[in-house]
Amino acid sequence: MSQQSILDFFLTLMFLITGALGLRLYQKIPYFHNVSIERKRSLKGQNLMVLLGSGGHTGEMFRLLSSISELSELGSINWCVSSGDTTSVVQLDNFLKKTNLTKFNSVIQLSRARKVGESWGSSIISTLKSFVSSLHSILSLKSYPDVLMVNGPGTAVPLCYLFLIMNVLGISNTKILYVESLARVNQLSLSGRLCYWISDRFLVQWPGLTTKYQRAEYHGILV
Amino acid sequence: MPQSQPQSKTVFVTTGATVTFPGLLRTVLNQQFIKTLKDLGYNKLKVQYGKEKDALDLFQSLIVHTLGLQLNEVLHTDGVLIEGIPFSNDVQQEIINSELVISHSGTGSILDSLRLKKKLIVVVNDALMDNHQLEIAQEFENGGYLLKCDKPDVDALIDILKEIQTTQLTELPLPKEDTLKTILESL
Repeated sequence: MSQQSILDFFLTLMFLITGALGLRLYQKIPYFHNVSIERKRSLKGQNLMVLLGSGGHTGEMFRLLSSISELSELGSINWCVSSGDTTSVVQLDNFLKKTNLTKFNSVIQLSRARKVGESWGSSIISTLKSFVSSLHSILSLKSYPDVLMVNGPGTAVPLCYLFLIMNVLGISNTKILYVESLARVNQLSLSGRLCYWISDRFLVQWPGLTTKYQRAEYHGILV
Repeated sequence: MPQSQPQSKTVFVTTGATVTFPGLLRTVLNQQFIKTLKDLGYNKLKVQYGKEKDALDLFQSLIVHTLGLQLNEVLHTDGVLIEGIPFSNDVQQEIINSELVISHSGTGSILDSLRLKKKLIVVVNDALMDNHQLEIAQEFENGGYLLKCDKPDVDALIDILKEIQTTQLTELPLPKEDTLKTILESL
């Protein structure tokens, strides 16, 4: 083969890969598709992953979960907790005991993405660290979750993007349910703005937010 | 017959368990405020001041210097018993035991009180930058679920304390039973 034809071959290959990746991204990024609200399957046997953030996020998450009947029908729940967040672990224990769900006690430790008040520069570094640490914990799971449910702590961002990438690569097929915190009345949180594009359903708890964000759904206060 | 206990009528004050709100402590641990509590028939003021060391120092300093009490005694002012705790592991029980809650404007504390159907005054921390707390307090007040006080100020809080005695507040509707379940099933 001449040098020219080798070059042509690689160029063609590059176009093919770029095209395939573009199509795959289009297919897998929820923003490009209409939200489906049809009932597809029952909760029975499904694997749920729930992110417990620090502070008020954890409290709100348990309030959200408390409104779901038949949680016990789920196949599994994997709880993601930031390392060092002992308060969330205590709250989790209380929740599991109160709801008779002690069988769902699988906890995954994630390193924390961004501390309140941290500078932008050091935020980027700690977010990267968090991403690598999350990647390691997630890849060691036996099976990937059907649904990832988050409600907006900083750690939600690397976790959601990690599953987007794994979905694009065909490793996982995890849907993302994002519920914005009740504290957000007129503006989404930074996590919310970053996860808006890649969440399969994006819920807010104040109606004003749906006018700015077309894909945001308001179904009343959920906590 | 056993002697009946005088009925306790408690105000529970919570400044937020993690980040404390010194202004709220200064506002409620105040002679004039406590006298108003007494006039309105309250006989106990329970304060959750927060886990930080600064919060304990401030609480003790207010007890000694502002109210002129001794820390090793039962704290009584104008017939109102004062009790301080850094943090309760069962804040819901504290709320159940109270007639009125005065809280910072965090969503957790607001929900705790409203879900337990207690009268609630939220005091907005005007020292916080990037303040969502004012927005939240405003939305909840617009719904008639609580009364808000825009800043930690004794006179302002006394006015609202009097106002809430006669205010008919609206019950916060519970989340619809299966909203989230239906959404999970669609994914």
